[in-house]
Amino acid sequence: MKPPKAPQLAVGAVLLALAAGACAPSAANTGYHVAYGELSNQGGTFVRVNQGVGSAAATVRYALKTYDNNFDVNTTQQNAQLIATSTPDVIIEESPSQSIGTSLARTFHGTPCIAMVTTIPGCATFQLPSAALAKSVADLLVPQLATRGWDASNTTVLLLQNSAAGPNVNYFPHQVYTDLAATVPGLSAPPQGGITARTTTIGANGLQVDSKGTLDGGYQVVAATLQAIPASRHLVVIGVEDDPVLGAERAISGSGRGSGTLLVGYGGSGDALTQLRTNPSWVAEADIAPEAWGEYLLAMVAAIRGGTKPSPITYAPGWIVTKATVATYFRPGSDVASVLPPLAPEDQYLAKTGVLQRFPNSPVK
Amino acid sequence: MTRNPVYGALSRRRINLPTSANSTLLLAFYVALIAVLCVAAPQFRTYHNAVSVIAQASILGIVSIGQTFAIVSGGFDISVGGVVPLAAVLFAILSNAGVGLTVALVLTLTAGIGVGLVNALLTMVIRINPFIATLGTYSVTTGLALALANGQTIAMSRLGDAALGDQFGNQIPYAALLFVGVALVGAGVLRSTVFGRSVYALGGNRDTARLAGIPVGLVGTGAYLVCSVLAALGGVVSASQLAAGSPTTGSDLALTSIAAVVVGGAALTGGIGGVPGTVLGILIIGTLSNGFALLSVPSFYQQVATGAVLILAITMNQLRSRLRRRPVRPVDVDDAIDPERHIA
Repeated sequence: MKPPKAPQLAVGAVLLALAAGACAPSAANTGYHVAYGELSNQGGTFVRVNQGVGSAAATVRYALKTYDNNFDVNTTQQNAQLIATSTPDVIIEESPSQSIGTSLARTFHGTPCIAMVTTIPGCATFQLPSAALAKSVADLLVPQLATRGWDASNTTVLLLQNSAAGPNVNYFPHQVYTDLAATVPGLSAPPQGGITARTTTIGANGLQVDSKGTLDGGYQVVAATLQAIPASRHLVVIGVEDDPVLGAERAISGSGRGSGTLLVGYGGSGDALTQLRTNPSWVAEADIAPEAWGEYLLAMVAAIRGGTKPSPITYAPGWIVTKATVATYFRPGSDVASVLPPLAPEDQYLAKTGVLQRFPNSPVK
Repeated sequence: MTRNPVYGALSRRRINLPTSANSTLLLAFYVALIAVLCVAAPQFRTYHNAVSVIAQASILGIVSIGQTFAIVSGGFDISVGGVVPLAAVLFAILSNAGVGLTVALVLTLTAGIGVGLVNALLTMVIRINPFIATLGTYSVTTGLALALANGQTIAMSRLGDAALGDQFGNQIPYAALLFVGVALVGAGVLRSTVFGRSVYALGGNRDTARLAGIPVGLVGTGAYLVCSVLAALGGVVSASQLAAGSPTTGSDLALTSIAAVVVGGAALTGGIGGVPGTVLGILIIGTLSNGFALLSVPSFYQQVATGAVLILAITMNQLRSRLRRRPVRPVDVDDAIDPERHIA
């Protein structure tokens, strides 16, 4: 074999240098190395979460490497192995299923980790504040129903679930109904064992349909279900997230029943906030500020690396936005909260990291 | 120019096309299904619900009629599952850009033509298996839809451009009327034009069709173009109904449209099928979906029941074919070249 010539050596050296440069940590990132296993990069909420994590990492100058779990347990497991190989300082992981939690924990080999929404043994948990949001929505709806003269005798509560997404994701609409039934006289009680993915009717007042968590899924299933609900009955629509509620709104307004309907969204998307500002039927939005999750998560990273033990559950920002408060939290036409609500008691340790204070919408100064 | 006498014969009305228009058993099955639902769900019997069934099936219907052309020609098109969301997103973006309804519609349908040409190039010229070729374009178009929309739903700010989502006389959705119109035109083209008869000939036997003087490349290209353009039209209808373009809309349309065509009596091997049968298949799927919603059947069981009913419908069709097996000529031109061929 002939020895390589000088030009070949030069080209090889350049390529090696380029490769080394690509593999080396960016000089701009002076903080921790964080691996982020995102649940998906499709759908409004997930995209906003992912973009928020990315921009927050840029702000605090943490090196962030993202892996797309694509809603798939096998992909998640493969990504976990890649993450473990990259030896990050902290792993942020959102798994599509709790059932692979033990396997993920084993793969992470004790690297500090944060489990988003779906718990993983040994990882700190970052969770949606769905219980508090559901209670707030129920508290808000009860007087609205009373003012309108709507009660159990003339109102149907329509729950839009995503049956394949599991109980965590569907907790919000289920809990809103449960809280409403505990307050509104005559409203049918949830079945024993609670509302599940298989629940379709709840006495004379509740209907649950599968929106598949999508815009067209919400539209199609509600358009069909409206045929089974007498036009004389009022509707209260609670969705698993904004897209199916937007689809339902389109089907309901198309059927001419908009004025007899109250809608509550979940997620705080731009389209939902537009509805809240302009549509009399859209009375509340459970806003979970997905774009701000990155700020909280990276504060958790800083706390963990700083030796602070996180609360058993750290809650994502979440609050109910109404027509009266939308201007308080959002500038006209904007869907990014200009100020976040105060930290939950469990989240107070985040303030001590100093990370949250680096963002203009910080709830702590 | 001397006209090929065999190809010319395709334009005459003496050809016995092996469509599924006479599949009375399937019609009987549909009537029985309606009867069961009328008894089980009183709300099913209303006029508004009947309109709702057709309106809800309109997107699947438009896409499936295009799929009929692809399947009868001997191929099939999985990429419709990507073209629908791509068209929906593109239409919403163009509408928001203020280009106007007509321009947005034309440009979106042009995108459908582009995908159809790529599919035709891959399957008819390079001769890649339609499953692999259209799976590839499905992946490309799905990815493009997500990239254009940045993974998010794009709300249409100009509701006037979403006119296809409105109702004619506040009674009948335009989408339902469009579906009926596409079905009528599709049935006419496939059954009564030279192009339509050539599609049958191509699907029946490609080599025979070629030897008979049929320009198989052009005919196959035409079939894929019809399929992609109708998928793009389905995307426009979806965006209009929802007043938004979602990059995940219609993700299951590829398989459902193929199911509708096959339930309607088409053969995946090509050469057999037709729009009337496809419309029946669409109505069966749409009616089942509507009936399950009215009966509040849990969604997990809906999937099981839908699959079971589709298998039952196809089995009945197959049994009918076997019981009444007799030689059927796809087109008379086959006799001269391939007299042994019989299609049940």
